[in-house]
Amino acid sequence: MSAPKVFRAERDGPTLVVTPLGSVSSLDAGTLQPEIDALLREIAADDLRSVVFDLAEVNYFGSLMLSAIHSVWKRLRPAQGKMAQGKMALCNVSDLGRDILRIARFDLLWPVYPSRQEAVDAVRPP
Amino acid sequence: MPTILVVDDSAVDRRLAGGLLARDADLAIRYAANGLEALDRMEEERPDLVLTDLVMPEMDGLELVGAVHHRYPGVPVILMTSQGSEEIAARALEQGAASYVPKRMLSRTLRATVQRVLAISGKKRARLLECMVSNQAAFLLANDGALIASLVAYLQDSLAQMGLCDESECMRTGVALEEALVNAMLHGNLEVSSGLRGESDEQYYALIARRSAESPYRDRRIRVDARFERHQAVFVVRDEGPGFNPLALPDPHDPVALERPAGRGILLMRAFMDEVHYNQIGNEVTLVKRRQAAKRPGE
Repeated sequence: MSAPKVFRAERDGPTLVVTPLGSVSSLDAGTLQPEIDALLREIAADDLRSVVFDLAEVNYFGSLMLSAIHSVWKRLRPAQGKMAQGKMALCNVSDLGRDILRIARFDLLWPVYPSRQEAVDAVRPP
Repeated sequence: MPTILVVDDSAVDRRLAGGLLARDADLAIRYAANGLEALDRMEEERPDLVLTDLVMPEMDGLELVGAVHHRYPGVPVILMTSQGSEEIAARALEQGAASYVPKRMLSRTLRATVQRVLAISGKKRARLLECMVSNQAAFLLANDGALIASLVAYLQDSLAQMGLCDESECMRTGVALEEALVNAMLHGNLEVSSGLRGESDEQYYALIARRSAESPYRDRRIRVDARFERHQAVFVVRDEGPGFNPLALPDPHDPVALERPAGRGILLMRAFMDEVHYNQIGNEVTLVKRRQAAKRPGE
């Protein structure tokens, strides 16, 4: 696959750290879906139980980005045969980003931390 | 008196460019040796225009264009290019640079280019735009996400130019407009239900890709009418789909709905605009943004 245009994915120990690189609205489905698929494959392949979305490089985002983050969150939910639910957190969210999460009510689902390290520490498996 | 910040790691080239500009008695010239130093200078004194070399240590001209565009969107940047860097200059223009001048043509074109860019930006333009009482634009878009992003940026610029809202509110309005346009494209013209998004991402995106290529979906357009006035901006977004019932959206306070992504777009539209109205069949939405009240000192 060519260089990612939407998400940069890195591993911090057992945690997958995903950094959105910019707005997703300008991209077509042919660009966005393969990148979401790649994230989900990596989570499944290594049975990852912790994911952090670092929003340092996006000042604001809309429902398409929220849907993409939601897709990953769903993958971490308990499924048949899995022992424990995975954890997901967000970090480096701008003031407007926090407003957006609050309005969309996703602040009730995903904890937000001021820094990447705090988010990684919070979701790290025991 | 407009201030020009000349950025070049070569002291000779800095003085050359600055000297040419200084022939215009109504320009004040400042200097920096690279992009990082330029940004430091801009924190102390914001120039009316930045003139920068491309290849510099610490932070090159391309990175400086991006940084200025992000931090000081009203300050235009002109690039000085060496032979063979035209492709980079084109990229810089895409990233927001106002213009470029080949170094071999500095003596011939620099002053005129700077004056032209100053005339269409900065204080002169701001004075002119204060005289604008209304502005209208209409667009007919294909189902293309890249066009949506460009249109939202254009409408945000227009809002800012009319002084209707500050940068923060422009961003919020941009979010609302993007949601309206994406809804018109995906759920209106392509008739892809947001409910499918919560069931199967793979099927959702596959359907978008399929319908983007087949009639009648691909032939449908999004009509956008924008009217900017002194006290408000009104945006009308209309798709060519069958419409929907906005009252039938899931209740965002329902715990079950909380775990589905559908319906968030309209929540954001209603939160960030002063008014949101749908027509009877649901294929046209009107969004109104009123002039922001001036903030008191300390707010």
